[in-house]
Amino acid sequence: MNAIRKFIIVDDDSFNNLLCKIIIEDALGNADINTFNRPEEALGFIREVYSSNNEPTILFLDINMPTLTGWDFIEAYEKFSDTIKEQIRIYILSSSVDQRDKDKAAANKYIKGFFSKALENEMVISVAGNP
Amino acid sequence: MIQQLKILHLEDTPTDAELIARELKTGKIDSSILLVDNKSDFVKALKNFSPDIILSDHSLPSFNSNEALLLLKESGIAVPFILVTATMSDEFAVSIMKQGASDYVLKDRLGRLPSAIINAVTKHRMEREQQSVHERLKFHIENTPLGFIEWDRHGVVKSWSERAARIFGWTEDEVVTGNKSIFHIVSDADLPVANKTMKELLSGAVIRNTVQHRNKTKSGMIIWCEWFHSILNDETGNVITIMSLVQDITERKKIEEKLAASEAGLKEAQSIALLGNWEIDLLQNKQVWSDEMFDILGLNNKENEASTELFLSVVHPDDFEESKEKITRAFAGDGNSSFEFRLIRQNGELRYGYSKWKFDFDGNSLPVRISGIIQDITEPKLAEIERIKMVNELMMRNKHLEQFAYIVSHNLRAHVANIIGANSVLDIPKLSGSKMKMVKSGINDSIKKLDEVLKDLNHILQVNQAIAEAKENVSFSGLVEDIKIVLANLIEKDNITIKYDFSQMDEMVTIKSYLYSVFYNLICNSIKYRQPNIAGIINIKSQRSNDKLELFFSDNGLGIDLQKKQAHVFGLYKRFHSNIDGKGMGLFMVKSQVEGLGGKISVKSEVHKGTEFKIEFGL
Repeated sequence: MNAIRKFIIVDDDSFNNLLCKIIIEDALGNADINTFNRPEEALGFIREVYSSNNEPTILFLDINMPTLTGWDFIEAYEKFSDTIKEQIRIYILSSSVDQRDKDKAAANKYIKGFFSKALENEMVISVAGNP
Repeated sequence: MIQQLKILHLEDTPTDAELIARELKTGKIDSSILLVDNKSDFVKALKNFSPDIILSDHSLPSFNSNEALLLLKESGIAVPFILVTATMSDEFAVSIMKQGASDYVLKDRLGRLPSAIINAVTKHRMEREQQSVHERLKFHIENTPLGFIEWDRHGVVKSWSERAARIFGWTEDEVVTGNKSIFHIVSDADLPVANKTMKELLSGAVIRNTVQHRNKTKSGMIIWCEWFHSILNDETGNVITIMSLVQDITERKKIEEKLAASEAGLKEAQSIALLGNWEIDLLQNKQVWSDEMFDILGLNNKENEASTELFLSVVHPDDFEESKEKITRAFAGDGNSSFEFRLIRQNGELRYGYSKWKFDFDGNSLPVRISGIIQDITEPKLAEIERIKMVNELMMRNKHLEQFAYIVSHNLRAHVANIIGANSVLDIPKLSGSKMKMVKSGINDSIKKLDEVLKDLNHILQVNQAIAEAKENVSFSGLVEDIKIVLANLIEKDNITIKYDFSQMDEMVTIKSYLYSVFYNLICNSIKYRQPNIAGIINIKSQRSNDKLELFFSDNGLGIDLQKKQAHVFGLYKRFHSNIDGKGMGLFMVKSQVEGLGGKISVKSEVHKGTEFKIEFGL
């Protein structure tokens, strides 16, 4: 099976987004990565692009963001059509090491996993597959 | 008047008998006469006829008056006996009178007979009555629980009733004939008491007195007695006799001692438990309080009379209405109930009390009495207040710890994670020069932000430290004017108007640096989150009511969507606007500082309309 090469990163911290981009590209050679500082824009992008497309995509989501938290984001995402949701696998990528956040993530069926920052080469391969 | 008399007449001469009967009729003696002339008929008549009086001739053929009188005595029947005879010597008359005859009448002087009969019967009846009175009196004396004793001025007993003998075990003979002293039956321990009582009587200071002391019986047993002494003097003031009534009160004394012990125990228990009791007699509208209840209320039980008004007079003014209502409702038929109250003792001491009561009913289900308790619950109450304070403090500390954990988990770690990530990225060989440059600058930013978070942590720690800073009188308008100068550039650049109205209250005693920080952060927030294209207006005012001061900060800025964010408004590192630079410290600090000053802060807001913060301080 081919590795997934499409990524969406949602985090208000631009430096984190830059680092994620570099690490994913390093792990997979090449990848299609969209980064968003504002969760609202990411939601708009997904609704627009994935309603017709059929491309498996990995989404790394931060929790602690000012206007819309990661949890708010998931709440909005849940209302999307199944077509959209079948394409996207959401992983939490947070600086949090709080067990309550981990438990909350595990309890949500749209969240596939929980990673504590920083993102590493091996994490990318474990979710995307070997290139 | 003497009613019909039954006369037994002993006479062997029928003409004499007839003569006497006629004489009686002449003398208007209403009588029925039984005439007998021999011994055997006389004895039968004594038994069956029950005569009121006997008339007897002296000598009969086989019988005489001496013998008849003897038989009468032997029969035990007490009736007058009059000798009616022809002749008689003076010696004989004296002798027969000595033997018990009431009178004698000579047959040639029969005219005297009726009056002799009447005299004899009357005298006899009076004697009988007297004897009966005496016997009744004796009966009463012997049947009261009181022993009757008479003694002289030297203490020698002269009279000793049957009851006295039963009480002390000594017979009348042993005491009176034996010339025993009254002090012989006093217990050694109480001899001084008995002596004092006797001296008091003999000195003439009193004519009667009552005393209780211990006595001893013949068998040596110690008993408690109550004595009623009275002294009888002759005209010249010499003591004739001392009369004493005595009662064995050992049992009563035991019961009294038990009762006193149980009352003392109850009083002691009430005092230890700080628990008093009260009772209201609803029929007589009378109240009784225990000593401990007076003590709890700080009232003197000798100067005050128990009443509902007296109780309410010590109740704390703030609890007065509630307590009064509770009592009124209970009287109005609310039944068994209880309530807590504070009271202020006359010395100004504040105490906490609790009262509970129940109604007692009569057979017709009508309330007759209320029995209640009152307890001083100051100690447990103060402990409870202290506990609540401690719990609140602990909750506060816990909240701060959570905030700390949050900072460590999110903000501190976010930058550390970035530096770790950047460090591994720098090892990638094929990393382009431009990306390398971006990563290095990112590391720089992360380190700076890390430093800022550490400074924030330091700041928060300082607020949480015990408030050691001195309090002073701080003017609200002064604070706003100071801040206006500091923020002059921003205010001018962003065209902000700050208005204030502190007419109701312009100052309070508080920690100036905290209040300054609160004002500064709220004003800064209003400037930062103003609506673009609308001139920003900030209104600040104070409002004073009975027991609190309220400060209002309102603006016409962007507002916060409270439906979604209510829980996070005052959270640390919470931000609600992504287009404006803020790190989510301000409102967290404001809340910490307001609470540090003992106040409360709340918020009302509407998106695109504005925000209003309200700060409340108790006065």
